[in-house]
Amino acid sequence: MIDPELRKLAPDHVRDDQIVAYDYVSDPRIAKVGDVQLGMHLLHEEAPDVFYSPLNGGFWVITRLDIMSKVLPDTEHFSNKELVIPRIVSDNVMIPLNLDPPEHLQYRMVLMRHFEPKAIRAMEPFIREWANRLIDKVIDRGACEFAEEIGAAFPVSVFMELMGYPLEQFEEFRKIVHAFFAPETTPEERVRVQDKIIETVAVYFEQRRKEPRDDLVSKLLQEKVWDRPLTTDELNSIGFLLFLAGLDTVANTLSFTFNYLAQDQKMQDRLVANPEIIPAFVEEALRRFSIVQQPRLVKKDVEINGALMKAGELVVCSLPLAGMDDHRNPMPEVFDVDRKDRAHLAFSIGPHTCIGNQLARLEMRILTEEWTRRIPRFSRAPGREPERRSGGVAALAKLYLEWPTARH
Amino acid sequence: MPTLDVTTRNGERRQVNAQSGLTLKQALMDGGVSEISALTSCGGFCSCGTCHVFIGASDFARLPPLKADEDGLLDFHDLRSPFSRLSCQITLTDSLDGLRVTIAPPL
Repeated sequence: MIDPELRKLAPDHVRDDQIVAYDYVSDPRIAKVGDVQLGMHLLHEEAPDVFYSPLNGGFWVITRLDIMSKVLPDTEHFSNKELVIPRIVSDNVMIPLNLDPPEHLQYRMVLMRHFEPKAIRAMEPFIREWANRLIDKVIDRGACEFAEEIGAAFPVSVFMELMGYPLEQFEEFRKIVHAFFAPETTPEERVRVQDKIIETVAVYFEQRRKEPRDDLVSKLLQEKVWDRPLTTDELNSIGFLLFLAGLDTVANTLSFTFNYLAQDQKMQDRLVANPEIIPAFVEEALRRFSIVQQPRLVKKDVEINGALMKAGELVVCSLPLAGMDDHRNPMPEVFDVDRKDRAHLAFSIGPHTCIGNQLARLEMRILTEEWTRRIPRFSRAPGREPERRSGGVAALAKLYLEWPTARH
Repeated sequence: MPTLDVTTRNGERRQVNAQSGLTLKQALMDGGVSEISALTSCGGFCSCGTCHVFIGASDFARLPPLKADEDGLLDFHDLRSPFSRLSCQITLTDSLDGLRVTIAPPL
């Protein structure tokens, strides 16, 4: 029997058997299992492949990789105009993420020039230097809080230097990002944080307009769409997207990955003995520890696997569920570098596929290479459980690691 | 059912039996041409430019014309040729039997 309270919260066209309570920002399944992706994976047993959760204002959820692969690229029925749950009222847009075709691609190409494989490959030496600089800081100590000292410090430093943001602002930027993604942040506060991000990025566009340097902020000022320069609003909007995308996603994926690796000494040994499997290790980490839930706004009524979605409703493709989909990846809970025919949507799919995916993959590979080379054996500090956050972008905080040093 | 005459990046030549109605990208992937399922793949939605191929010069006119988006993405390739296309933007028909396709170097 369906809980009458839940039934009351769901629209009439949603059938009883399609209603399942799933909390987008902090689902009890995750706390119960003590693992974000495994907790979500319980939905594969408990819920239909497409279901409606009446919580957080109500939204549809897709739990299977093959259905997500149809929904995410389908710009005829689904729009990117709203991407936050619970819904917020705000005029702030992220370009190009919030845009739909046809205008979307012009803006995407502006960013592509700076994130295409060739441009990213050229950054490898500079990225490797950052990895080593940060490992230098902690290696003799024999211990660190990985999530901030490495997991965040590494990709965020790379990103800030790439953009041309001053590194002294590191703490300030991280604080803003934490405030934006924290589950306890109310929709009103979240809009204020958005405004703050846009004010912050606007300052640097303004500065570089007067004094250009060799950084991405200056280069974006030179970019054109439809043969005209980007407007101030467009630039700020792109900056807003890069700020959120660049300051949190790789950081969190690294923390999930190293939390796992710290607990699997056999895998540490394999990576040390055969560093050539590291790219496969990175892909398996992206699959097992996908972190993003990707909402879409239904713009035209559509039926997906027997579920009638009405225009104006929200539907979520929970990307961790794609990686954990046992229809596509047998025994998804197992971290298996040798997995054949692995599939994941960690970077989404379709016109909005993560433009930074090459950079993210390179950063993960380089950090794993340098860390396992220099700290081949490490473990979690006993008695200290990391803190989990779920929601639009899942995270792991307070990950204390330790390793033997020459002195001990 | 068109048959494609495919040359891979290392110069290997093979026949790929394709199904009409599929895109050239899908047919190449189904035919085991692994070079085309690049990691960056946007899934065949003319958004990443990684499924770049060269079409045989004399076959090029048999294809439907380029659209602006595809043209823009092809411009990212240093090795763009007058016979460059994105394979995700070509829908196969029986009339494309024998099409010669060479997988272009990666971005």
